[in-house]
Amino acid sequence: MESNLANYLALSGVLFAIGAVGVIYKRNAIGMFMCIELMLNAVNLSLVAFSRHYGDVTGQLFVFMVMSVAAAEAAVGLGIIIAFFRNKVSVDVDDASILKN
Amino acid sequence: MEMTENNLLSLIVFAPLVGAVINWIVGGKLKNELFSGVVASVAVAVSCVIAFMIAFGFGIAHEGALFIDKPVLDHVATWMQVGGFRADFGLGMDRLSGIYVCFITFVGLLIHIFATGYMHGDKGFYRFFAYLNLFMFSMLTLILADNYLLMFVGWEGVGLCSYLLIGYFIQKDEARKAAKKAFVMNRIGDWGVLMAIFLTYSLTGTISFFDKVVDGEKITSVFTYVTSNLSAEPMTAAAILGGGLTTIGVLLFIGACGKSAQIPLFTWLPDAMAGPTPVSALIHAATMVTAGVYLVVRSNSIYQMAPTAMVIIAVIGASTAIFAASIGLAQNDIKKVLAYSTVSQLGYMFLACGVGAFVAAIFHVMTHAFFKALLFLGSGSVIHGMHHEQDMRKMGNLRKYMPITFATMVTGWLAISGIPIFAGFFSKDEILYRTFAADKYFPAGEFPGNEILWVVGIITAVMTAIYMTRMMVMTFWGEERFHTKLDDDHGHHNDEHHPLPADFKPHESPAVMTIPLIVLAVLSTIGGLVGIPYALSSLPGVESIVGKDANHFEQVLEPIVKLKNEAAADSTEHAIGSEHSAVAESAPEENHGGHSPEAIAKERFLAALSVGLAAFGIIVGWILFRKKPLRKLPRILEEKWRIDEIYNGLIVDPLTRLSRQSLWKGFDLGFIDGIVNGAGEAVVSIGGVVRRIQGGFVRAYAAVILIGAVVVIGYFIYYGLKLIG
Repeated sequence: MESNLANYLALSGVLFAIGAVGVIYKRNAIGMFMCIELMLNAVNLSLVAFSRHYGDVTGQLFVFMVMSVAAAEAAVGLGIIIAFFRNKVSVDVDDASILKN
Repeated sequence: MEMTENNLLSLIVFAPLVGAVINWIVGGKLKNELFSGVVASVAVAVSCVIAFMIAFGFGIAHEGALFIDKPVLDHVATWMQVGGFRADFGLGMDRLSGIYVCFITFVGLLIHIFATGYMHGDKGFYRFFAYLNLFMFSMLTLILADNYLLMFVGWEGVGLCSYLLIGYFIQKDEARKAAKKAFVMNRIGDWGVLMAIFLTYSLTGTISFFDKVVDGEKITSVFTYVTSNLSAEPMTAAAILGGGLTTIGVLLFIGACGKSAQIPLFTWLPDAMAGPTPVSALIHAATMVTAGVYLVVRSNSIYQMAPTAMVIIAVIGASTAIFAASIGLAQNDIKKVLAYSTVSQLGYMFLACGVGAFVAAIFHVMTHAFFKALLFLGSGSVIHGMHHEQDMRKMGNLRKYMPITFATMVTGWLAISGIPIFAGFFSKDEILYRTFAADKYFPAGEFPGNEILWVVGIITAVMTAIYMTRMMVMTFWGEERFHTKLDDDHGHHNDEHHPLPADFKPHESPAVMTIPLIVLAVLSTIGGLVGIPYALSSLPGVESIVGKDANHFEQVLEPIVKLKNEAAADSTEHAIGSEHSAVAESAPEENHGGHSPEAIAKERFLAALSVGLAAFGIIVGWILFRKKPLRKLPRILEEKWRIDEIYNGLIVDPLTRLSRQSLWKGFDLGFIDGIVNGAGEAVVSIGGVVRRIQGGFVRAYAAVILIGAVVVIGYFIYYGLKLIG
């Protein structure tokens, strides 16, 4: 079944937009983190779609790279969030603006 | 071209430099008075011996420099050579510099020996002698340099050493101020010398003093060029700014004014007495201050073609002489009296230069070096014996305690006053006579107003006798005033000064100090006999002792300073003389080498007059001050005509105000600091605007990144679509 590239890209764009808006609007660090993951996966989806469309495996290899980076990022990011929570007993990112003046 | 060369010449200059370096490096480590004193004195002694060898021709291959027409040269190195310009590190001793070098090294040696006694116990002993040697090096460079530029190096060097030595007692505020003042005033003069050198080069294309051959290149001296290629300038005020020989002459004289303390740049010399007394004797009486006279006499070929400059020199010289003498009358500090006396005597020397009596000027330089060095060292001995008391009002009756100092200073006193057979008489009398007879010798014909200058000269002579008598009477006669309290005795300027103990007795100085005094006293007594003018040597009775041609000094110097119209007069006279040789032989006394009977009679009369005036001055001084040594004198004289106050009010204070108000507060604080602070403030205020972007909220940053990304992508899409079609 030949699926349409445009459909995949549209879904990818929607996911990315939801992620982006989520990053900007969410104050909860965990939520922001999940939105970032969502954006990464949206990009992964588009990469895979292009790879399939052009019959070129490079895009899929690239997705592996992104996934490994995302895994590392999850480890570091969650570590930061836990350390932050220990200090402030909160995961609200606006509480993290203590370097300002 | 035939040249006499002698490499020993550079040793005269470099021996004191070596002494200075040894004293600075080794002496500073050892801190041994004997070592420092011996090194410094031996260095000068070497210079002195070689100077006399070359000048008089002992133990060298050629004749003495004083008796040959060509100078003895020593080319050390080529200093700079740019296009047609050439300046050598070359030394040359001719008749003029020969005389100078001999008396500088000899008097310098005596003063070095004296100083080993005077400076005994001083913490900076080695430093003092290193400076003193460095001064000798600079002074000898100045005198022996064979071109204007190297001479200027020495000229600056002596200025520096003078600064260092005036400010030697660095802990004293007075000394520091005096050193600064001397340096600044000298710098004003140095401007004149530099300008004169530039102008000389642009006019003549050379700066050399002597005709010589270096590296096969023939070098013409400035004076040869001037004499053979340029013509005398008219005596007009316009010539001063005309950029010709008169301008050079005036500029050189500005330099001489600074170095030799003439009006208007004389006020530094009395202040310079804040230095140690041997320094006052060496630098500020015998040698450095006469460098201005040397410069003028060295450039006499230029001056002979610049009558306006000569008149200016004569007038300023005479004015300085009488002005300084009037101040000297009322000073109470023994060294200040001698300082103003030096300024006054330097005025005489310039008067002599101005009226064309260059020989008399140099003669007076030499005799003055003897008797003024003697008087200064004598005063140093007195100060030493009085435990650093310099105020004559606290002295009196010292002849009882210091017989040798007293006896030697008497000869200095008689010499400077102008009593016959003492050295000062012959030189001063010669200057006065030549001033009176200036019309006969002046290169440009009639000298305007020489009679007035002569009257000024004899009044100064009387005043000299009075103030020197006052000084002697206050110091050596009368009652002992060692413990006198003075009205204005608040806060004595001398930090080393302690109140004298109640049973204080002055003491005679040690032999290292009295022996130089005795030698100088002998020179002050008989040193003038090398230049007895014909009018006096031909007197019956005198002639049988000294011979008719007793003016050896003039015979030595004559070829260097040959006056133009005198040369002409001599040649006609010789022509007549050969025609009437029989007549001339029968009456040799009446017509001898340009000495007409009337002139001789006039000169004898004037000599008798000046002796009378000198005696009159001494008697007046004796009557005035013998009974009342503390006699009150006009306040204006005691306050030195308030010249320092006038200079401060007219020049120093406005300059300080300008610097403070406009340059410091206006330009520096306003403009320069404004630029620097303005740059900083601009950054801060721009930052104040820009910092609002940095809210510290991660989500805001993310939004900005998103907007940026959308804009970039939108741009690419928009133009990408356009490109496609």
